[in-house]
Amino acid sequence: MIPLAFSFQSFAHADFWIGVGIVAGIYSIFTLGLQVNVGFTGILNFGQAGFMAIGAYSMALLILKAHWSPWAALPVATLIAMASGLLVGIPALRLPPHYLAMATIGAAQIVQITAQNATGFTGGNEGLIGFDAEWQRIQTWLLGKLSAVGLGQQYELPLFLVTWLSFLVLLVVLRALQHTPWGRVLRAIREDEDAAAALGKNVYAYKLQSLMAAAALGAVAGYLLALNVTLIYPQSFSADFTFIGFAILVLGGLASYVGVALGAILLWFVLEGMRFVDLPLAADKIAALRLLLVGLVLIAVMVFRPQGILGKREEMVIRG
Amino acid sequence: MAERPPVAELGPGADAILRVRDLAKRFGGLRAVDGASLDVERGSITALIGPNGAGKTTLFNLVTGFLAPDRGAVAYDDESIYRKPPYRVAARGMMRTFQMTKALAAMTVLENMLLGAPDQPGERLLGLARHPLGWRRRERDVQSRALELLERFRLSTHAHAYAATLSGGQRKLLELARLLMAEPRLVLLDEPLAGVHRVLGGELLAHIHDLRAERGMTFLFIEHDMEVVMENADRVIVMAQGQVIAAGAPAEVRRNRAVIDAYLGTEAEDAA
Repeated sequence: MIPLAFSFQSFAHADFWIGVGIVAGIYSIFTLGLQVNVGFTGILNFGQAGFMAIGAYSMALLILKAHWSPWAALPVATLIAMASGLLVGIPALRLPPHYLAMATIGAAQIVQITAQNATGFTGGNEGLIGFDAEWQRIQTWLLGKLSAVGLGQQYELPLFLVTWLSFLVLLVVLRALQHTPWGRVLRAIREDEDAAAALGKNVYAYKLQSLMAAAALGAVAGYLLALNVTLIYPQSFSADFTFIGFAILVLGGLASYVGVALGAILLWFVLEGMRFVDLPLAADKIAALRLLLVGLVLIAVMVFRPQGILGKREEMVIRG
Repeated sequence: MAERPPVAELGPGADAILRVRDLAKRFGGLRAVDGASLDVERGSITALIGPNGAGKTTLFNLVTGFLAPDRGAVAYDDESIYRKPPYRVAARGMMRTFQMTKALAAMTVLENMLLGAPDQPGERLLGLARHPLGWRRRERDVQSRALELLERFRLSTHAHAYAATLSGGQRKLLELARLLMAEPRLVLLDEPLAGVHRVLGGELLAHIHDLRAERGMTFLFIEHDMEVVMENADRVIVMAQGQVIAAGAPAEVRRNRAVIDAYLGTEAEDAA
């Protein structure tokens, strides 16, 4: 028998869970992009972490090197990320599905390795700091407001609120878009691009738009990630981020934007909750066990609810 | 006996909506289409026949832009559509169906229909950015047309069901009804009757005749059932081994020596 015990005291630690909530929110926004691509267009984008990196680095560099205001840097960095989506998509979206997956993962690797090695520009593995002065100001102001309701000590709460507010705004926009004729064309392409082409739709152009939208969403996740750790460094943008995004996608369900949030929350609360299960094991073994558990949860989902928590079975279209 | 050259080209006075000249496509060592030439007369119901592997479906794919030809010329309405992408070919008014029916099963029957409508500003992101709700008016017009067509094709009771719930024959009807949303002038049907229940098949053929009579639409269809071809086509084009070997009125083609040889050859092979 393995002795199991929960230390409820730390479980009830609000600051910790607010932090987990921020991470879940960042992953939610990140995975919204994957949902646009995989769930609604049927294209396998495995380079989402690369677009997130391009967004975050562009934002930081515009602020630090070009001395732009964050309010100008954010939209421009988003446009840069979208342009990179276009750049990757122009050749890669001409490839068959599996090759597209490889090409996008390769593109994301290029971004990460460039960030590691262009030390004069990106700070290499030491990363970039000091891009968040404006955010510190906003945070202090928000904490002042929060102290009026007795929450002034929850230092992570401002970012939590901004993250989930961003998610909600993006959710509303994406859901509205999905109900337009544009969203309908994407779903047609997801199921059968020849059918869409035969009906006069420019499939390639729609796929490019889908990839650019995902890149923009990745960039937004990148800004929030940068604010959360106050440091931008290459390891934050490894392919693992994309893989966890895919796990969230499967968990929450394909073709559901709300499912993305549920999947992210569930995954991160399971992952972090494991910290409070006392096991007679070394810390590194427990860390490995946590990922193992994620794998088991995913297998269980595939077996018992292949469409995910909120996915529609009728709309499950997975193409080879 | 003096051999006439392949007779798929119409005379100078005739009005061809589609002209194909010396079209060719190789897959490795296989000459799938090997210098095919043919004309499709405007307002006709033309059958494209030939033994399996004759290159009929490949010809459809080349003409509609789903495959890039190696050489040749294709003109629709006297304008070249050679190597034009499928969406441009469709936008000009030449649309097709597929041998394996492509009803979009994960969408409702009505959504399938709405997708067929051209000029929907809501399908473009820039259009949406400019007038976020402007597409709704167009959607209402399109929807009433879609429901009319579904009524005509006896599919209206299924309008809100997923297309996956339709029978094979109903899917073929939906595929035809869907492309009618774009009011094409030439429709290419790849084996529209294959695997379709006889009653639904008869309905589909009746629709084709009605649409030609009402709108002057032209149809080119691939079919294996000779009875169907003889009863429904005004003109028959015969392909074998990637080339057009004969064309003409059904009764003429039936007596053509080359056609008989091509078919007997394959029948002998089939029997083996």
